Amino acid sequence: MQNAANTISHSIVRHGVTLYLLIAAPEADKLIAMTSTLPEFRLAIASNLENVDLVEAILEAAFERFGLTSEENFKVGLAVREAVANAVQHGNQLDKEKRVTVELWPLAGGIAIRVTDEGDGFDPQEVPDPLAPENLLKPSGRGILLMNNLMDEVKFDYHPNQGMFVTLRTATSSPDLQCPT
Amino acid sequence: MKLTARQREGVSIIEPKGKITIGKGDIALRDAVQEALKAGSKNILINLKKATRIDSSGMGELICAYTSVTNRGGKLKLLNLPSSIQDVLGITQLITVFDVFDDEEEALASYR
Repeated sequence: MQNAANTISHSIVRHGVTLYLLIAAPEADKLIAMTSTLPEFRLAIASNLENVDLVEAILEAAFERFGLTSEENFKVGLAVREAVANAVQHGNQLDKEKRVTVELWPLAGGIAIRVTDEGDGFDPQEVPDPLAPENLLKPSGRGILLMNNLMDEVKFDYHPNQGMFVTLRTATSSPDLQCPT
Repeated sequence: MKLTARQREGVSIIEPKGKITIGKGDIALRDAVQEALKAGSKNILINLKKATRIDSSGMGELICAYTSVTNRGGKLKLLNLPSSIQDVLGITQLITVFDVFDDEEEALASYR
């Protein structure tokens, strides 16, 4: 396991200046792996629901350092939370032997996040419309709707023998955020 | 997520503080509603003023609570929605399901 200390460091380059992100993560020892080899920021968790909070806390700290506004942080954080919760609960069926991987790329003018599980995949077109009158009072099925509304682009791709890849992209108010070349 | 409950004019007022999200907050809300129903409460008012976030699981619990209360002939209503929670309840159109109030006195009056 990498970066098992209580503080996880990560760096980005803005205007040619390297910014070091120091993310307080007191529960970092629960991470299976975390790397920050640019341009990727990647972490992997075991499939239990407690880790959804952990991912959210780490990414929100990262988003803040990337210059996202609190409103953007809220929206992106909730979208990622939904993707990770789906991956843990439905993709990996809460099997703690299976990982959920979260990767984050700062883009020029936005960010992209990919959430990958080790499950059998699903067809998002087959998920019932939670806004249909007959589904409005159902207790579940709103995660994809939220992701689609909170982000500019959401893609679902199933890779046989690898799992489901959910990629979320959104523009942010920090258009100067660049990956180093 | 922490949660308190109190009674006023025969209405159980449940006040979650923190995140109503998968794994903990959603279950705490479910337990609080079930406890109020077991104690004989018919009408429930959920004050979301100090709720910081709700996800699809939290919304699922709100809907379950709404259905449980309605099936017992009572009413479940919401009080003091933070704008962020109002936004996501708008996306999911759940905002159309609940009666929502900004004032506790007004909310209590609606049960009379």
